Amino acid sequence: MRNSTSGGTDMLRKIGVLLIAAAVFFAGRSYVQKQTDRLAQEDGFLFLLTFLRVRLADRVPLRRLYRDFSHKALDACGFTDLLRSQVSCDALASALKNGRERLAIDDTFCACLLEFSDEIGQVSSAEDGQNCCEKYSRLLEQQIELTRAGAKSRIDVSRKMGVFAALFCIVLFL
Amino acid sequence: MYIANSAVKKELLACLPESVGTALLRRENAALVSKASELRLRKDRYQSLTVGQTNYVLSADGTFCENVYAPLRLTEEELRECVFRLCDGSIYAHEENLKKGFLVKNGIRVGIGGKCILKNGQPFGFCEYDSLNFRFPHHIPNAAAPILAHIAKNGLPDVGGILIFSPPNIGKTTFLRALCSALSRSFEDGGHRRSVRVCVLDEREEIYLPEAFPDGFSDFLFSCPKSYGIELATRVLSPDILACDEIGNGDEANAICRAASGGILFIATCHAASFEELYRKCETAQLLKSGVFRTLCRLYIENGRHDCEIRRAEEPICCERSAFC
Repeated sequence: MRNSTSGGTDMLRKIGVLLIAAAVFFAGRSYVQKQTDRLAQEDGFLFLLTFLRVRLADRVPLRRLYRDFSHKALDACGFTDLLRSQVSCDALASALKNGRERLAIDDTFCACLLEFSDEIGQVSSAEDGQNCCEKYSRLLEQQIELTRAGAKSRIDVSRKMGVFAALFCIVLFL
Repeated sequence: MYIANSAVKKELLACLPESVGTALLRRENAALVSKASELRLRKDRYQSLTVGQTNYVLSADGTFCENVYAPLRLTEEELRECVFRLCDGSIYAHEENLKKGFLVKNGIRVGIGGKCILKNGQPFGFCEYDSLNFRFPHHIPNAAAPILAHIAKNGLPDVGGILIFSPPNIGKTTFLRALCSALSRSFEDGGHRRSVRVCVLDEREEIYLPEAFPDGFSDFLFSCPKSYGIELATRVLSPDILACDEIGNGDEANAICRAASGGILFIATCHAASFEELYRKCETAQLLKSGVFRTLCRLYIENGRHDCEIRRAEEPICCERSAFC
């Protein structure tokens, strides 16, 4: 009678540990995915600025340029569709505000894009617009470098945590 | 504000400061607004609507009156926001027009007053906005009836090139638009009905209106400098008639002379108050001397009624700047 009770408790404990390990594993995996998405999206925004810099020379309005823009990571999260659907004059700022939850970028990066959106609409010549794109491209590049450096170590830790969780389960069952 | 297309009207109202947009939509202002030719927005001064030759001031309570005690005042920030919206959030896209001091939104020309930015001594744009002048285009299909009757009687080859002139704000562009529309669609030419290929050089995008050119043999060159556009149109569009608004400098006059020697008829407008003034102005005197324009059409308003006086061009008597001639 006592043996069967202690066997049941052992089993419950193992299931509990298994659940915790699984939670840690999936949390680690989700974190890795988020960091990967963040880097891809930040690269997407940098590509957007490069795209604008090239196309501004034709003096095409921003909203028409946004309609032509496409990037895999920003398409996947639905941001480009949101950007194209904006009717306000400051389409990029509106899309960033309305679609903030779809994006994995951090607040500093987002603030930099909002500043860019404010400035690019007000420039009075295509040349000034291209200079504005270049200036913000450099700022975004710096931030992407920081993200990349931090993300590498964080991703490593998260991956290791996942592996440790798996090993922990194996040891527990052996 | 005569705008046939309600979508265009809606889009324009969305660009205006809210207080002005609301006033234009008020029922008690509807009669004035429907006849207005201009809306002027000014920083810290009167906002006004021009109907005929009368200016009506917008009061703070949203009504338009000739004499007002509490006028509505706008800030520079509101004018700046209005320009930003007129440019659809991309001021650089209107760079070329801003250099010349205006914007075009759906066929409505918006003249800009303010502090200019200079680059290498040339105007480049505006850093402060002081006033905005919205000129609402009108399509009056029978505006050119007198000259069309003249063509019907004498035939287009005899009438030759037509130079339309008047002081500002009398209706030259409206007259030109109606004439081009009729010639490209159907007109009576010395006894028989026909239509001709008309190429319109619409440098400031204010001649073309969809309701004026729903069909017909018209081609348009938009935002193209006239002197360049005349050569371009002659080479690639082979029109029977080339039409352009507000000719005024030597380059344009030279380009017209060159193209006219190739057999193209010209219809153009220019600023002048009288026939004498027209003959005195160097560029127009040169064109009249070369025979490009054989018919002159003076537009004027008398007793509130638009009218025109048609004359055969004579040899010019003198010229202000002999260097050009």
